[in-house]
Amino acid sequence: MSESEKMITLVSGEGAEHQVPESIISKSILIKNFLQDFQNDKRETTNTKSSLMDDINDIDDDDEEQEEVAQTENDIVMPIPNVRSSILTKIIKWLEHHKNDTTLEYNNDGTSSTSVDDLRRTDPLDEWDKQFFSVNQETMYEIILASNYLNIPQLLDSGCKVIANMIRGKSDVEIRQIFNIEDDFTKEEKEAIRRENEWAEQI
Amino acid sequence: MSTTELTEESELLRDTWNFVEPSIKELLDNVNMNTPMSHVDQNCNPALYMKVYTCIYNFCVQLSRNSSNREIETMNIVNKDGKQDKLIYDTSDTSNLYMKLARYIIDFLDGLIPESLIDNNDKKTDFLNFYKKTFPKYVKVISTLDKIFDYMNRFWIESQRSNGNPNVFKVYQLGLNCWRHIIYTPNQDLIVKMTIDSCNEYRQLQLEHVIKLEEDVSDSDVDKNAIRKQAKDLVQRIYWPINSSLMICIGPSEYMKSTDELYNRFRTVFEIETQKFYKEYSKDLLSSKSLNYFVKFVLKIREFEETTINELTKAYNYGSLSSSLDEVLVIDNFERFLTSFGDSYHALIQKVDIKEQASTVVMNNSNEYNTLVSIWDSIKLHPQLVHKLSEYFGVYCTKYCCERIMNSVGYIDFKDYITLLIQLYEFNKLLLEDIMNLQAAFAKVFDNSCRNFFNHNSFAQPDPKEMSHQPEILAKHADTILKKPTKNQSYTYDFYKEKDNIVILFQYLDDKDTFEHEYRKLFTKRLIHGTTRGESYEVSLISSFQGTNSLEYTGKISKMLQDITSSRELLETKDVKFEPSVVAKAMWPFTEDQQLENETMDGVLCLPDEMKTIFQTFEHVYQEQHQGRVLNWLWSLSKTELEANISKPGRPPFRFILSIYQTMILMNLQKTNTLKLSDLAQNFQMKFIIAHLIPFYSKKLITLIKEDGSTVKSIAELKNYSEVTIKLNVPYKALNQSINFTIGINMGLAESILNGEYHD
Repeated sequence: MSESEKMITLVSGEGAEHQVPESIISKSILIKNFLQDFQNDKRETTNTKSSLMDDINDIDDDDEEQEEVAQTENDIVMPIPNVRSSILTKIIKWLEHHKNDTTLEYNNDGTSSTSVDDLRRTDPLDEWDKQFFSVNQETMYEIILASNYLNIPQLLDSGCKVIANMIRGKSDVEIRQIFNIEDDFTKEEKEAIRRENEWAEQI
Repeated sequence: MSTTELTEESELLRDTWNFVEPSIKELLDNVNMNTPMSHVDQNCNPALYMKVYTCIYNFCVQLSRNSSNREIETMNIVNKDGKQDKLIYDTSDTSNLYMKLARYIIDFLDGLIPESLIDNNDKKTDFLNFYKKTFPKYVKVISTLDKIFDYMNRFWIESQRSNGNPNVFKVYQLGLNCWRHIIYTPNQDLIVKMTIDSCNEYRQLQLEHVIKLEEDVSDSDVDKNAIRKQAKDLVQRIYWPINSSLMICIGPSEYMKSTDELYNRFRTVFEIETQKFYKEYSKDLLSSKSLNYFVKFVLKIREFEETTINELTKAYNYGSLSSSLDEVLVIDNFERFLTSFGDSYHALIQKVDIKEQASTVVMNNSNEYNTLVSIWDSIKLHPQLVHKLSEYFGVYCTKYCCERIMNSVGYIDFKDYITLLIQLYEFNKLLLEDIMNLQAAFAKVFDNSCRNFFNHNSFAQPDPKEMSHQPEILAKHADTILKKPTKNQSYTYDFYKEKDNIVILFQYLDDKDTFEHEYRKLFTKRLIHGTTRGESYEVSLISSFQGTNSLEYTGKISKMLQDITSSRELLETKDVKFEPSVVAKAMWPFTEDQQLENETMDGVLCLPDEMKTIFQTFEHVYQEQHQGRVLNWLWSLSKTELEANISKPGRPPFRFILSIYQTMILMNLQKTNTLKLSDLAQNFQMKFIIAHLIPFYSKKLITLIKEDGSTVKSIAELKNYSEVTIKLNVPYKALNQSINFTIGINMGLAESILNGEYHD
């Protein structure tokens, strides 16, 4: 198994195929979940465990079956309809660069324990990622959305940090300019918001 | 079942649902009884997975973009059994999607139980078959659903719950919850009962065919495959319902933490039924099998219950079940256990032999030994039973050890007897170490038993009304190992091993004072006659006694040894070797006879001149060193070595070992060749003279001549000693060059001659 690593074929929204090694794409919890549940189960149950547990789990009325196992060893083709090919390429590039990172402990839904949370928050953005995200805003949004869709917490974290860096220290007007946001508050509304947040200005 | 109408179903929701519904149906349909598990494993392909996931993702993203105002409304889901679950949902489309999914699962489960199993008591026997075939698959399927609804889980349900809505669950938990309400709760009593029935059936099967003792013969006519198949089926019937009751128990508020509410209901009944089952079972077993078999089988049962059954039911993870199992298996039958213990122990004791190592009896894993191990293993966790067993052990130990000794009386001498005691001791000790791990209660009881059977057995105390001879026997044994072996014999005892044995026996000796007295008597002999094996050995044993008893106890004995060592260097003249032993009178147990003797031959004055000076010099030197001490000579204990040149010419001189009396007589004869007994009578009591003459006479060193010139034919004639003259036979003829004349000195004989009571 480890000799020639299993490749997963990802099919982008446009239908282009991208070959990715299983270990790399496993950073996507969405895909990892699928692989774990539907591919690896077989190997685990046939391995060790007591004969009693074997009996417990072997609920079929025995006989036949078993031969079908080979079928599942076929290549896995995962359609990723929400992600365009160019974005998928970028994400794979990011995954490859980070393949040797020590992975933080994420729960399967992308959340994490409080201690890991702290790390995620305080870890500075790495230089490579900064470079990686120096693209046009449109692409950046698409990467962030895709990382949310594929549930890749580290990439999502990096993307959010990039955006946070863009906002940090900017006035409301500047922020509106950067993100092209229309100022739709009335004068009264602005005043109300200012009053509510008066305490913050003193800091 | 009433269905709650969903409010304002949007086009988006309708499209989404219509898109995902067939996939959900495809997945859920696998739960069907007849679908093999392997099929369920494969039923989700990457395309379906990503298709549904993407659809749900798009739906959620779409909604979060345009939803701004949300209302919270209470909705009711009414269960089959009429219970109402109040569910609070926000009425946005996501909640509608969630509701649709929940409703779909509920409807699906409703239709899952085959018609034949509903409201038909006869066919409910197969309910567990249905259960075990559907639940594992169901779990698998809802876990797949959970993954493909992951986006809804992550965003909508998380936010709902953090907004204080505890009745929304992630899809997996939702699925389990539905199972609980639709399948489990309505059939709970049936499930519990049937699970327990299956469990008992499984036990019966295993206990009858699978679990075996070594002595069981395997019955070949049983179809092992059929049994295995049946066992497998039963195992599933037990495991899945119980396991599911734990899985589906999800507390409404703490959503990850499951409560054991359902499981506990099962466990309570299970505990009672387990006890019932084994009460019945042990009754049957006892009526058909031997007690020893039962005792050993109990361990097997316990092992089976605590591993296999526990793995299936987890019931033993709570302490109470183990103890109720023990109650019916062990505590109720404890009297029988004791009997069995006694019998096996008795059989083992009888195997103890003086020729064999005690350890071989213990170690050879006999049936009886294994029975003892089994009994111990089954009761060791019950302090009360342990205590009781220890008391019984004490009684058995004394009784059977005494019996074992009694059986040997008549066949063994005192040496064998000592060996037997040691073997019995070692055997019991090994047994206690090996099996009971030398528990305190047993150690104490064992000490008492040893004291009993060491001192009061039919060898040491043939007549129970008299005192035990154990002290004398032990002292004699000590003397045996400390004595120099007679010539031509080598040491047959391993001193240090025997010493340890003596110390063991000594520890448990009741009458230590008698032992001390006896010991000193024999010690005196060894010291005075120089027959001890060696002082270092003596010291070693004495210090052992001191260690086990007290310094005072060995005071006299130590002093005796000290006397001997300190007098050794006192005096040595140039020509004649003189080894005086100056001893403290109070410490040495001399008989009255010996003490009386020293008075009659008062002083050194009567001695021949050659010797007189040696004694006088010594007295002088000693008095100078220790003023005021009274020196008494114990003549009868003295020994002299004399070179006598009375052999035929050309032959080497004889070497005689003599008493001081004999030396004196020979010295006198040296000058005159003849000596009248009446001359001797002036200075000495005649009985001593005669006593010491007899060895000379019997070894033909002298001839006794009467006044009329005839020789004395019988020593009885010495009654009239005044008429008798001693004549030395020169040249003396004897086979040995070295002769010990101190052998054969007999005071009693001399007295009876003088009293005229002696006849040939």
